[in-house]
Amino acid sequence: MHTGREQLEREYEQLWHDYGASLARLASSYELNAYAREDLLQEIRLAIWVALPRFRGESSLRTFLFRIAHNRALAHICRRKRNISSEDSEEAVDTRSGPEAAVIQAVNCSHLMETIRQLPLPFRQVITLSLEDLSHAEIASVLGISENNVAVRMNRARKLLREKLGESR
Amino acid sequence: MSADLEFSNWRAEWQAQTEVAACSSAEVRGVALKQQRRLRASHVLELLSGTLFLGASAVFAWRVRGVESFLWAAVVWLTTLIVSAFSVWNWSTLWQHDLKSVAEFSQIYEKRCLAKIRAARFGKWFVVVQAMISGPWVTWDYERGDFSTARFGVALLLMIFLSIGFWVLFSRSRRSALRELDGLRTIRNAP
Repeated sequence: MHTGREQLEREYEQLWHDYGASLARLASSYELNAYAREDLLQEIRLAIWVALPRFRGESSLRTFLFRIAHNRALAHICRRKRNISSEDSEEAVDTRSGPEAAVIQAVNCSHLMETIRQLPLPFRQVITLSLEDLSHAEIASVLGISENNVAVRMNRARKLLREKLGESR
Repeated sequence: MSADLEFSNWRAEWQAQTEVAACSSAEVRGVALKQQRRLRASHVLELLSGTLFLGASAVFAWRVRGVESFLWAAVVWLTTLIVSAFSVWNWSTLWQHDLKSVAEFSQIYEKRCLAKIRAARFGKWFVVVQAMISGPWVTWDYERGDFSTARFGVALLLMIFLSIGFWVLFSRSRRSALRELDGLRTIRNAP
């Protein structure tokens, strides 16, 4: 029992080492506010920890993780109270210092991230998954839509992203 | 610039954001354990309070032995069973959904919101029915002289206080579920 737990902990830490950055980017694409983003990331960490013993390898590990992460993120933004109007000023009041603040700042510096965050969620989901190197089949499996639908959404998402990046540059 | 090259550039820029705060499995395990304990405690509490209601009413009916006490015990048993049956029906199949695809999850999430709204509506009606049964019953006991004025006053105040409290609780829960449902539908209906 003890060994099983230790093995699970090792697997979990390895998994976080391999995919932590991807999951952090995913959280950033859903949440602008640093505190809310950290909350979301914590929810994702917890959900993965709970689900990991149930992973049987029926899908790829990436698909498994991104499903959990997107589901948690969806629930997170639905539960969030409607204070979106205050989001613009929220970064300014984030007074944390140290490595965590550096991470947050690095993420915020990305103009691409800011623009992706403005996309409607169905487009944001396909484009962020594609930017994480997932194939259309894997994206279809994560989102539960057909590959054709993924392709259609991808085209529209890329067009919209190109327009928005063009507008702001 | 070709579309493929453009996308490769985006991908490189996206993946350049590689930093992530460290994650300790021991810490996550601790939080998960705490959550599990809280959940287990709430289930045990629910089970205990249900058993207490049923047990106490059965003991009362057995000891007092009258039509009224049997009727009272029957009302308690019936309402407890109705609430339990509703709860099982309302929440069945809506657990363990994190591993589903986003589309399936979103459907289950919608059903969960609808279940919360139903539960809140059921709760509000249940409060009204309980008040309609307990109010006249307590008043009848008072009229017959079973209750002193002070006891009757306390009982009535307690009933009003609990009814309002639960009504507010259910209303809040309904509002929060409606907000979640609205958020989900807005996201779903995005172009």
